[in-house]
Formats: sequence, structure tokens, C-alpha cells
Amino acid sequence: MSADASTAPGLKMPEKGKAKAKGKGVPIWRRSPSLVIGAVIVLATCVVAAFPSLFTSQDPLALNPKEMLLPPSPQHLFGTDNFGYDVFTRVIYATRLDLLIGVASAGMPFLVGSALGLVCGYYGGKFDAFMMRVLDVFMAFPFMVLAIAIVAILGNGVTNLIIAMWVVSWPPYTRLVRAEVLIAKGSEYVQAARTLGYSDLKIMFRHILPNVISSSIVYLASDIVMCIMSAATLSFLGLGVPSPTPEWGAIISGGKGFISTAWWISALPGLVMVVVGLGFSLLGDGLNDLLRTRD
Amino acid sequence: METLRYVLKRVLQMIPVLIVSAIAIFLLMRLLPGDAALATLGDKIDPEVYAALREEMGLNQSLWTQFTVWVFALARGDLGTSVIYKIPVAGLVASRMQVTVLLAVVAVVMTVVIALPLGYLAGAKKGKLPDVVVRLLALLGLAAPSFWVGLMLLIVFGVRLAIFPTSGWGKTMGEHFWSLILPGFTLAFASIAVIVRNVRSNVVEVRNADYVSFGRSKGLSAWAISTGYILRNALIPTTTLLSMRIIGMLSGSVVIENIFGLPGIGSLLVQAVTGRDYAVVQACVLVFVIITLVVNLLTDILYTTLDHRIKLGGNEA
Amino acid sequence: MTYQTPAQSGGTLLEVKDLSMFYLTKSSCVRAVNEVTFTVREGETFGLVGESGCGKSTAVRSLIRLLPEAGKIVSGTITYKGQDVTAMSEREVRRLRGREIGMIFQDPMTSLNPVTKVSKQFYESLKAEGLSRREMRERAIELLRLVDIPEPEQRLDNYVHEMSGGMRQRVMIAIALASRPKLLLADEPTTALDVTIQDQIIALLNSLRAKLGMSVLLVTHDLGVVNEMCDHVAVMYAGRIVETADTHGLLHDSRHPYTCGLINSLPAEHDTRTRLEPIHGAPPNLAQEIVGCPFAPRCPYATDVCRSVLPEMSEVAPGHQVRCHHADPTDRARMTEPTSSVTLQGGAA
Repeated sequence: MSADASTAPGLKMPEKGKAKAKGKGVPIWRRSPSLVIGAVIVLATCVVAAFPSLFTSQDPLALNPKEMLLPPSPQHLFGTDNFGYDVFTRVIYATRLDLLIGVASAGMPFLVGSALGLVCGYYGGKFDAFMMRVLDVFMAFPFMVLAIAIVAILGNGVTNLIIAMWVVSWPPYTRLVRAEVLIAKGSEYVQAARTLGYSDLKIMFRHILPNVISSSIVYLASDIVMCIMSAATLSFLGLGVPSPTPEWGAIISGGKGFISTAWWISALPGLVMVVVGLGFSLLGDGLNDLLRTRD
Repeated sequence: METLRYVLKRVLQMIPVLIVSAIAIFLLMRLLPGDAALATLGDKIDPEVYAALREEMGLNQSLWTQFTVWVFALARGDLGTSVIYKIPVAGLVASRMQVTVLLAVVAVVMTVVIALPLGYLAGAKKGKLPDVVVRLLALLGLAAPSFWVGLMLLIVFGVRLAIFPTSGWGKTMGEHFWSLILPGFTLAFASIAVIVRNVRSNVVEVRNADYVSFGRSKGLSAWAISTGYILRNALIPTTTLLSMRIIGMLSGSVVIENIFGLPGIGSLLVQAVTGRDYAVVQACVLVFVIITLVVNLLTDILYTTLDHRIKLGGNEA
Repeated sequence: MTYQTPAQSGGTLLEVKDLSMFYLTKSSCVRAVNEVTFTVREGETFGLVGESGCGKSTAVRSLIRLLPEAGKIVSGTITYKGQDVTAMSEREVRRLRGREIGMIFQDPMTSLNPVTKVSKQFYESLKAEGLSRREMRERAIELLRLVDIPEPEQRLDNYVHEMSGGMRQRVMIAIALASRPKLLLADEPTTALDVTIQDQIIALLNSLRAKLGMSVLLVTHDLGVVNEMCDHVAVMYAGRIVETADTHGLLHDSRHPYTCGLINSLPAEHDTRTRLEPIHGAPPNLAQEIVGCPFAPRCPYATDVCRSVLPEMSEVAPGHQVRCHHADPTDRARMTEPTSSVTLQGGAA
């Protein structure tokens, strides 16, 4: 709301005062409701991932041929699939794995990609030019195509899936950070630090990094969702987590053949993914609001 | 003239990327477990036949020789023979390509037609009801995995309501188009969300810009302001994003074609990977790379015509 | 070109009466413009002066209803050639903009559409007059010549990013004048420019006013600019006009302590002061209800009455009105001498 009024040049002073008040006194759920909702969803997801047995009494790998393709009921919240697996239980137990894949897949590119961006942007020169060409080559491969190719080489499995994600998801971080570093490099605070004779390392990590990393952090939140989804997609295609292990994409894939008879196998686990995805997106939006309003 | 020189320069810049990508693809294929000879033979492996086949396929030659042979064949348009289909890969890929390209076109059109008005509406009515609704929908669009969205659309519109076919893409042009609507929308779904959010925030940023006020002070109509001033400026960053989304759609098509049983290169790639049809995998990946590079090139050209502040001939940052 | 300028000069062109403009949001109400009254006569330059944040830009924008969504005109009238702008439909206001009342903005770097050529930005305005493309081009060249732009034919095909700030300001003026408005609203037209360019733009505006016989409503924080351009001046503080007079009267017989402060911040020719001491404090927060005189917290003459009662406008000389309880110099002299001269730091933030 305040953005409207602050664009009128005649109102700079009172708006400034208001912004200050906004930053201090107002509780966080008023300042950024999406951050709070997102954080709550993400936290809840973490709890489910940590203690799946609290939420279901059944065994995700217990075959029950007598209870095949049952529709949702109090006993089987999400129904059962063609093997008689309880879908809800499998979704609950899959949370840990999917979350782990998401965080592990996005974490490494975040660190390495950002660091590369920092170095490239700060030093420029031949190394930067070379890295940009490397980036070009990586960007020339559509995400999923490269991931599939890598999984094809390494074979199925969780570790290989994560490695494939590493290979495909670092370029955006490098680009993002590099672009911001290029801007920051010309700014007065960096010039001042240079004039004071600070070392490159100190300028990079103490002065530039804190100012450029926020966009990378915001991207990380959405990237975790993307990694979870991409991993699930690969599993859905039968190229990710091998079959009896509960994993969201694999579970949904299991219902592919039954869309006309047992819609719940695919539909309900997908809803869970939507909620988790929403949580991370909201968290990212909230972080964006919070980190960007400071400057 | 300057534009032409710029285009030429960008095409020339594309070539090394393409060459490096081709080398990368070639090496990646050699890293695959097993080899083409093994895949051709399938289960019945006779060591003698296998050795003979390896010799015949040139797999015993040095990597360098194999590479040059591959490149020269490539230059002649010879992409090898599919192990699964037993036909030349070039023809196979070419026939599949039209499906994927059409699918992408449908999806891009849907994205633009749906996302631009919604994004503008949300931005222009920032903080009001339309904005809240559009933003919520966009968030949902981001959170929903596309393979799931596809399945749900299939369940509702294909199975329950039986409006659209559940698989395949028919025979006539009309059938093609009809059967591409659901997959096209699925493919567009996530992109719509991304573009809506981007257009919205750009519109919010631009709508109170000084030049918009100046345009208003000239007495221009609301339409002239929203198109010539607000949208025109707001869409510049969106162009790049849209091109990124088109490349994202190529990724998405791999899954979507699989779900909707469309005979495109995406489904061909998955099939080839699972069936260890190396020549086909190689060709599909190469085609994807070429499409990506062409899309990037077109975006850059479009970008420079949209925003003349970009210096022609300069490297993109 | 439906209106015709009345023959006699000095007639009233624009009359603003008791205009109040608030920014209303769910949680707050910012009183940006409060009961502002002034008149712009034909052919004159009227100055609206004050620090940034005092509501002068908002006031000027509201004259052609160019306000952000939250901004609402809550009371008062704006009479342009006998018609009330506040009562007009959006369509009527649009017809007023550009053709009757043109406007130029503070920052030439950001005020021109970056994605279209300069020529197009002229044509947008000229199209309404039903000219052919060639005629429009000729007119645009003529306009660029009017603002002393060399090689106007080439400039027309440029994009704004290819020009310097001073050049852009001239282009903006030319575009604003494309439909020959009778009144030009100039919102800090020189603030963002280099000093040498500033003088050129001031000279240009002065000559254009004479040449085209239009009126100018100038918004500025710089009394130096006022001195060079204006016939009449109103000083604004915290959304209200606190003093208004002809330029000579205001600069040489200023009564409001705030105006005195502004004048003292000008570098004077025979200045022996070695140090300027600014008024302490900042302009009041317009989002809060102000009791008494808004300047009281910063005023060296403030008394109890100032802190509790808002002074009315009172006439101290013909055409010279002041909003101050202690506007009478003899009254002020009786009070204890302030320890230091009242000055404001030159230039607004």
C-alpha cells in the first residue's frame, strides 16, 4: 500500500517515517503473512518427514492383495492402489525422501553456483568469459533433457537423481549472483572499500556477498520446489527412484494406468505435492518481501 | 543493416556452443553403460556375434575416429539407425518433431493469451480483489507438478467428460489440433503462473513511472497508456522470461507427451533411454539443443527490437 | 483548439480554491494538500515553493487529476477557464490534459517513454489534431527548433537514451507544448539538471512563455529560480500555503518565519555569515493530525497560541497574505531576539 503514496514526490518524509515504523513495531505475520503461512507449511512438512509413524499406523510397504483399488475411506484416507498399498501411508513415508531430494538437490547448486557467480562477477576477465561459455553450453540443454541423459548414464537411484539435479540446476545461481555482483561492483560502498585498501576476499565476502545473496536465497526457496518436482517427474517417467520405495512421483505414476477406475491413486498424492509446493513458494515470496524492502 | 550484422554475429556465436554441445552429447553417449552393439543384440548374447557387431559398428576404433565418423555422417544428415524401430533416425526424429513443435506453439500461444491480460489486470489493480485472486491462482500454478495437472485434466476432460481424446493425436489436422489442447494447456500451466507474476510485478513497477505520468499529462487515452506505455515497458523483461519458459516447455514436453501418448521427440527420448536406443537418444538431445539455441537467438533479436537501450552487437550480460 | 484566449491579458486562467487532497488507505490518511488557494493569471508565471514533502508536487498533479489511486481530492474547486476540473468526467479531464494544460516533470532521465522514438512521442499528442504524418513531422521539428535543439530532424529519430539530460528536458518541454497548452505545469524542471543547464532551461521557459503567451505554474524548492521566473509566489509548508505575494514583495518583505528561513538559505551577495545554522527538526508527519501552526515546532517565535491554534491567512499588504500569528514585524521584534538567524539548509533533500 505504501508504495502507492511514496511515488508521489511530495510525500517522501512521512512515508519514510512510516516505513521505519513498519520495520520495527509491526509483528511479522502482519508484515508478511505469506512468509508465516509458508513457514508453517514447510515446518509441518518437516515434522511429517521426521516422524512419519506419528501420522499413520500402517506400513508403506505392506502388500495387501485383499484390499486392492479401494476408494478413499476412514481406514484408507487416500484409498489403496493396485497392490493394496495404503496410498496415504506411502505419501506420508515419501515425504522424507522427497524433501531430502529437494534440499540436497538445490543446496549444492546454491552454494557452488553462487560462489562461482561471485568470483566471475568480481574478477571478470578470462575466467569469467570461459565460465559464461560453459554456462551457455549448459543452458543449451533443456533442463529435463539433460537430467534424463544423466540419469540414463548413471542409472536409476536416489543418489544419481540428486547428482543429475546438481548438474542441471547450478547455472541460474551463477547468473543471478554474477549479475548482482556486476551492479554492486560499481556501487559506492565497494568503491569506498577499495579505496580503503581492503583485500579482494574481504570485499567479496564482507561487502558484496551480503548484498547480493538475497536474490539467490529467494530463488533457493523456489528451486527446492522445482527440484522436488523435477525429481518426482523423473520418477514418474520411471527414471528416478526405483519402484517399491515410496516417492511422490512414483506413487502418482502408479495410478497412471487407473485414471478411469481409481482416480485417487494419482489425484490425492498430487494434492499433497501442491500444498508442499505452495508452502515453499509462499516462503520464497515472503523472504522476497522481507529481504528486498530493506534497501 | 546493423540488425542484420547483429543477427549474423549471434549466429556465429551459436556455432561454438553447438559444437561443444555436440561433443558433450557424443561423450555422454559413450559414458552410457553397455554399448550400441549390446543394445542391438538384446538378451541373446553370443560373444562372437557381439564382437563382430562391435567391429562392424566401429566401436573398436578410437574415440576420435568414432567422433569424426559421427560428425561426417551428421553433416550428411545421417543420424544412424534406430535399434527399436529399425529405421533411419533422421526420418524418425523429423516425423516426431512436428508434434513437439506444434505442442510448444499451442502452449506458448495459450500462455501469452492467458497470462498477459491476467498479469496486467493484477498489476493495475494491485492490492484489490482481482490482484489477490490472480496471485493466488498463480501460486497454485507454480506449486502443482505438471505431470499431475496433466493427469487430472485427463481424468476430468478425457475420461469423465470425454471431450478430448485420452491418448494419441489423431490423423487429420483438426484432430491434431483438438488433441493438443489438453497437453498444450498442461504445458502452459506452470508458465502462465510464472509469466503472470512477472507481468504483474513489472506493471506495478512501471505504472507509476514518471514517463507514464508524463504520458497521462499529454492527455492520452487509458488504452494508449496501458498498451504503449505500461505494457510496452513492462513486457521487456517478460520477453526473456518467456523464452526461458519456452525452453522449459521443451523439458515439460518430455513428460506431457508421455502422459497424453503424443508421438513427439520428448516421448521418443524417454522411450529411447529406457530401450537403450543410443542413436535416437543422441539425435533427440541434439535436436533439443538446436531448438534451444534457436529460441535463444530469436529472443535476443526480439529483445533488441523491443528495447533499443540494448547496444547491438554487445554481449548479453 | 476549442478554447479561445480572451483578449485582455492578466485575466484569471486558473483558480484553485480550498483544495484538499488526501492519500487515503485503509489504515492511514496523509493530508498532502490542505485548503490550498491560489490563482494563476494569463501570461504570468506563478511559483509554488517549499521543501520536498510539503505537498507542492501533489497539489500540481491534482490540478489535472494526475494522482495515484490512493490520492483523493476531498474538497475544494479547481476552476480552469470557468470550468470546475474536480467535477469533470475522466474524458473531459483527458481533453484538458496536454491541449489546455501541459506538464513537465522533474527528472528528464525518467520522464520520457524509453521504448519509443522521440517522433512517436510527439505524434501521440499531435494525432488528435488530425494532421497528416508529414505535417506532424514538420510540426515536431518546428517544436524542437523552438526549444533550441540543434539538428531537430535527426533528434526526432532518436530514442531518449541517446540524449543528454539537458537535451531530454528540452525535448520534454517541446512535447508538452505540442498541442499549444495555455498553461504549463512545471514540476521542479531544473532540479535534476547541472547548474549551467539549469540556467539555460530557465531562460528557455521564460522566452517560451513570452513567445507563446502562456502561463506557467512552477513548482520549486529554489527561491533563486523563483526570482528569475515568477510573477507571483505561494510558499507551502506541510500541505498548506503559508505565505503568498508577488515575487518582489515575498523576497523583500517576507513575513512568515519559514519564508524568512528559505530566503536566508540563499547565498546572498554581501554575505558575511561564515556559518549557516539550519532550523532543527523536520517537517511534520502529514499522516498525523497537526494541532496549531505546523511550523511551530521549528519556529523560533512560536508561542502557546501557535502550538494550539492554526493561524488564518491574513492580509499584511495588498496581495500579500501570511498564515502566521506573529506576522507583524513589530510584534515579532517585541519578542526576545532569537539567538541565531533562521536558516534552512539550501536545497531540499
